[in-house]
Amino acid sequence: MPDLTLAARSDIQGMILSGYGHLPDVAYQFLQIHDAAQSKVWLSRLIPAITTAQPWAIQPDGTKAKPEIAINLAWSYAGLQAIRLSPEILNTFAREFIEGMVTPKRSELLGDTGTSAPEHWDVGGSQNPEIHLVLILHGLNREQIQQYLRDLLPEAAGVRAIATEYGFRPPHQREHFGFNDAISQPQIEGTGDKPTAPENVIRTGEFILGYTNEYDLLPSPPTVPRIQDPTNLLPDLATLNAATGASALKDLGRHSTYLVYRKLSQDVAGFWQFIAQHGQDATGCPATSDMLLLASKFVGRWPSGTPLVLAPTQDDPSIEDVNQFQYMPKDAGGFACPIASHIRRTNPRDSLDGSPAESFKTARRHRILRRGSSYGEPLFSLDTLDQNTVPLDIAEDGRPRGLHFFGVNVNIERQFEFIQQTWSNNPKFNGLYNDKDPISGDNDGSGVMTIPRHPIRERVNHMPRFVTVRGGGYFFLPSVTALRFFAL
Amino acid sequence: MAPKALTVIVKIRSGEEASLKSFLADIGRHIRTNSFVRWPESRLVHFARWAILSDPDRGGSRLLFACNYDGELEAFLEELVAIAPGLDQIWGHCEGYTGQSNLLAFIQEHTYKPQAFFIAVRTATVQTIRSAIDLREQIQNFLDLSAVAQWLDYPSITPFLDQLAKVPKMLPWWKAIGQLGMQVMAALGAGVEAIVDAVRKALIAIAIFFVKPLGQPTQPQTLGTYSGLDTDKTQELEAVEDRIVQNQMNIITDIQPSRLLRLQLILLLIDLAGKYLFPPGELLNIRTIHFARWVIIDGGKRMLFISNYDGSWENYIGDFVDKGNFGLNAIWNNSVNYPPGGAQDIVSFRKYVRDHQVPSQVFYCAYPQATVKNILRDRHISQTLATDFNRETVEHWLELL
Repeated sequence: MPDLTLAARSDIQGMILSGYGHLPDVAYQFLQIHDAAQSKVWLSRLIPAITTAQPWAIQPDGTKAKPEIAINLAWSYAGLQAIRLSPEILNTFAREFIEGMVTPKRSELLGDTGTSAPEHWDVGGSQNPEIHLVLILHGLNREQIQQYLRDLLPEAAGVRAIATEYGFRPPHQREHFGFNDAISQPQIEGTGDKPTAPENVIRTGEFILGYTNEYDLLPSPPTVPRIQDPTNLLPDLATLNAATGASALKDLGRHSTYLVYRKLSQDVAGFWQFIAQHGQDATGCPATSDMLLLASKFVGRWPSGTPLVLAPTQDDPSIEDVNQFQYMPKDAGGFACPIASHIRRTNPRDSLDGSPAESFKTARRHRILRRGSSYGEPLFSLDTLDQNTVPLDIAEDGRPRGLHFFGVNVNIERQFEFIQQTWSNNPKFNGLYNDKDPISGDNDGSGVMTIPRHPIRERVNHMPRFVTVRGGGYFFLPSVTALRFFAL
Repeated sequence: MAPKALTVIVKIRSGEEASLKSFLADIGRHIRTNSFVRWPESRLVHFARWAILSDPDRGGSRLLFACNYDGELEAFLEELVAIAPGLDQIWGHCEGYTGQSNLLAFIQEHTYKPQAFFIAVRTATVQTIRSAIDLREQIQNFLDLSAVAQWLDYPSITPFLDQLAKVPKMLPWWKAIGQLGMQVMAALGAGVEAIVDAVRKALIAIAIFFVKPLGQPTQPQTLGTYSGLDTDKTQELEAVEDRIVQNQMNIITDIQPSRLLRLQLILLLIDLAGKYLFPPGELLNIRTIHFARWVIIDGGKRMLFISNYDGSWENYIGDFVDKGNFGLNAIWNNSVNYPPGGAQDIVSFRKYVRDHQVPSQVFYCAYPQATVKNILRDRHISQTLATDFNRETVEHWLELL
């Protein structure tokens, strides 16, 4: 596919193509619309400030002029109802977006049960105010972001703040358990980035509506009947069959996508206490190297990010490209990286049924772009985990910490939900018996973690849940054109 | 003897659909605890389901009973009567049912023979599957005993195994000749197996060569939007999914009259390939199907597909599209309204499946924790252990210690 055009990039919201790595602080401002007319005036003033994927200008000294604030805006289905889109338009959105994350069935398949049930959530749950919009600000620091928030949300905006969540991206890229969490990302075709591995370059239509996807098809976008777009703002709905002539529908989805939010609370003390309990040497004492290996077996990578497939017995910092590897050539049995481990199931690469090519075909149809941040103070010094120092006598401090997970995908059901249900929460994944994802699975103490080993496997029983869901929602991340249509 | 498939379709008395449906749904909600059909007591049934086929266009609703069982029909029905005091209440809602004394005749009268029937593991009975699960669990629990686990731990067991491997195998000359003979036979067997395997693969390739053109989409994609998917119906279908490891699927489609013969030929081919060509546990490269059958009903007007599969609906559909698409297309493109883009046109295909899918009110599986892959692996674990196991020899050896 040719690269995305400048026009397209100026229409696409920036957070799809960029993680804004230079902006360490993030705020997620959840809003409710209380006055539709006012909110539309507010929106049309906000649109010029929205950060798009337009390439950053090159300064005289040759560096890119990176923005010091990035502003993005996403809508829930309730938000689209609140601005009174017609039923003919509303009905064309994806079913899972219409129904939302909080339905009994979805809670079941996503594992949002027990302590993760939506009635216990901080945001987006059944006991929380309904979210209409989320304004996502990436900035230099908390104060600067808060100043922007005050400026962007004047009194008469027609919207009110219902929740604010803050996040940050630490310079060492470590999440709260201490692992480098910023490595595996699909590369979007057409962005002009130098591809690392051909298998990792995913068709644009998996992440942006209006382009062909991994099935060689155009994804189904939300549409608008032609007569409901009198100013002809929206592009025509593309049809592959030219014989049918111009479509009666306008394309509301082009350059838009869907956004999945999960507020994930991490039980850091619980995790390392569990590891200490099971990572013991022959004398029954927790041993640093055993603990580090066990925790890494859960994840599938060493804390530094080096995959176990490439460095099975100890971390090897000399490995440069830590995302360039396959499972089957050297580790079909999972003796380096367990089949049940977190990274081998959330991106199975060549390790599913059939030939490696068939496996990649399937794996590529279930990828997601992650755009998240951490929240809460680290419980221990995260970047020391490399030097064979593990948190031994770690105690719970009762303070919240975790991850704001934001996933970009065009088909929530086939991408985000599939990964969570069919790979993470499925104890039968890839021929296993009773092993859920040790990190992101909905464990309840009944499952196990099988670590293949010679001459005999190690089995960790009674796997608890280390990551609890504390919030979430499904959002539509509109193109700038779609935002203009919403402001009409 | 391979498990069998029973497909029984009976007309529901007019006006009794609603009460039958709620009665069945109640059984379904308490599948292992209800007193009407005491499934846990069954020793012969792999999978069973009751599903109401609501069909006002064709003169009323019908009740489908579909089941996979070991042994003969008579023995199965005998077991069913013994464990299911509620049978009269179920089939009593249907026309022509005159009680359990005439059950065999009633069943035979309303049975449809499948045109194609796939069994993942042909030699596995409910008893062998359950006992292999049990054996594996016992072995795993034994390995987890703290004393055992410690001894098995890496530093201690390896030298022991090394030593054991080095013990010279001393045999008297007559046994040595016998063993040599067995090795020769094994080698011959392996050679024959390799030839059979090659022939099988060649036949699969030939079958694919002929079927593939029949499964070609006639156009790449019918670009649709999400509108039109029946949300209520999808939710009704979802409500009974993902209760256990396996899921159930019933799909009823109208056959294009001119394509009946072609469909029958394809189904014959699938039936033969499933029986003789595909390796155990695989149907068109899909490895999550326990049992599947295609049944032509209503005098050739419609086709009923019934399957028991592992994992989520989403994964099953993904497998259809990623792996089995030409075979599926070759079957279903003989039906009315099948997407011209075939299964590859995933949005239209998903809609097609949901539109034609019928939920089962009652769905039972004898081994709700076992996937096809688990069953095959369990079999390997227990077979390897049991092959040379002779109780007397082992007990005698243990006595020597």
